[in-house]
Amino acid sequence: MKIAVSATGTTLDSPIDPRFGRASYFLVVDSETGQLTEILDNRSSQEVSHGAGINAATKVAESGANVVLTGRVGPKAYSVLRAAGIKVVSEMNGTVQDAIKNFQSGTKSYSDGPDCDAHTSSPSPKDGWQGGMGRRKGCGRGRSGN
Amino acid sequence: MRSGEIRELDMKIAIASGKGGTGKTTVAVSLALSCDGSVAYADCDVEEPNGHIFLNPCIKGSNKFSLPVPIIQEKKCNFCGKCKEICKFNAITIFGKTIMTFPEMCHSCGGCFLVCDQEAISEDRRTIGFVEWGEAQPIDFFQGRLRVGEAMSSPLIKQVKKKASENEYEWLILDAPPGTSCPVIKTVRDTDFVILVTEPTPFGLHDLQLAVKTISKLGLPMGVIINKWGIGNEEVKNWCADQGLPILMTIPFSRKVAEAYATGQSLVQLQPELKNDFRKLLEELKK
Repeated sequence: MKIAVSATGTTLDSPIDPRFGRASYFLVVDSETGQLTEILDNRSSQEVSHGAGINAATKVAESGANVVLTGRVGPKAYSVLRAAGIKVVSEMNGTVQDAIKNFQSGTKSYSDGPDCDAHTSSPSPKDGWQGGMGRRKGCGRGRSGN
Repeated sequence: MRSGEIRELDMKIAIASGKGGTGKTTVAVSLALSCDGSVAYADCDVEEPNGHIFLNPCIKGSNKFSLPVPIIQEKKCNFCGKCKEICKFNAITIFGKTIMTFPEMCHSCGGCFLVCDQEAISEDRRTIGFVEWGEAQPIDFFQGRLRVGEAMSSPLIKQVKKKASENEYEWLILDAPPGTSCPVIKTVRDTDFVILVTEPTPFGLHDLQLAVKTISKLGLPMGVIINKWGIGNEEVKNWCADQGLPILMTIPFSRKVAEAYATGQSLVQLQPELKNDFRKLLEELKK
């Protein structure tokens, strides 16, 4: 399996880039060997005003990745990733290596929707990591637990 | 800019500002209410038009406004990627044998239709907003309303200006959106004079400087109205003097004005004596 991780640098000990669309790089890692197989340069995304997420998701799709590990994914990027059949694990932090370990330990679950609205770096209200919270797009009811 | 967007009128005045909340609408509405002769007010701040709150127009008509966006027939598509390449706004993306469009990103340039040699792209229409018109005696009223979530305000502004220029008026007052980007430029283009409304604060000065830069590039004559005079400092006045920018009027800060504003009353309704000042200002501009 190929794992793409949004990163601020080009090595496995680089910190995760919490932004998906405007991440500096995506590091593609082979989950069997733990080897870095490809570095996708996404720095150009930081200069465009629109559509960074769409572009980034397309790059990741073209790399043949099966899973994305990142901080937050916006709605358009998410729809591209979904169309490409790529699973998303968001709210990752630490280094790229940490994220991969964390993911492989099986404690993180896949996202079932975007984490934030377009053009924002702040996450939309979320209840935590329990599965099956719907797309968190409902109105009100921002309660936790139960 | 395509010519003929607005036909020859007597006097077209745009009310703009760098900073938001300085009093564009307050000034624009007051000017419209103070004019002698036939007058039209056009609210070009289509993302949040608010002139209607003060003018209370009777809306007589409304046109839906839509833009052409691409629809892809995947059966005909050979995934060559030309349409993706030409789109500067990432409204089309292709990976493998998947093609996706994002109509909300589309600027309707038509490039994708031209480069597709498979005839796989056909035209869909996306409604981005409405052009509305009516009367607030004796003012003819126009406004654009962009649909919530739409980003393409400039084409709608163009449409509002077009509608407002179907008749001839002695005065056409264009209430611009804040800032210095495309929607502002779309509003002020082809006008005879730009009034920049600012406030005497560091923010007011900073954004006024940006606005002056923009308007100078367009080569339009301009003047400044300082609203909320009495708060902040003298720097705006000093800067305008340095630049040789005329200060057309200063409107003193008053809590009463703010209170009236909050109840939808215009400045000249609260202080009718100001009508004379606004009228004089307009006559000056005509010269």
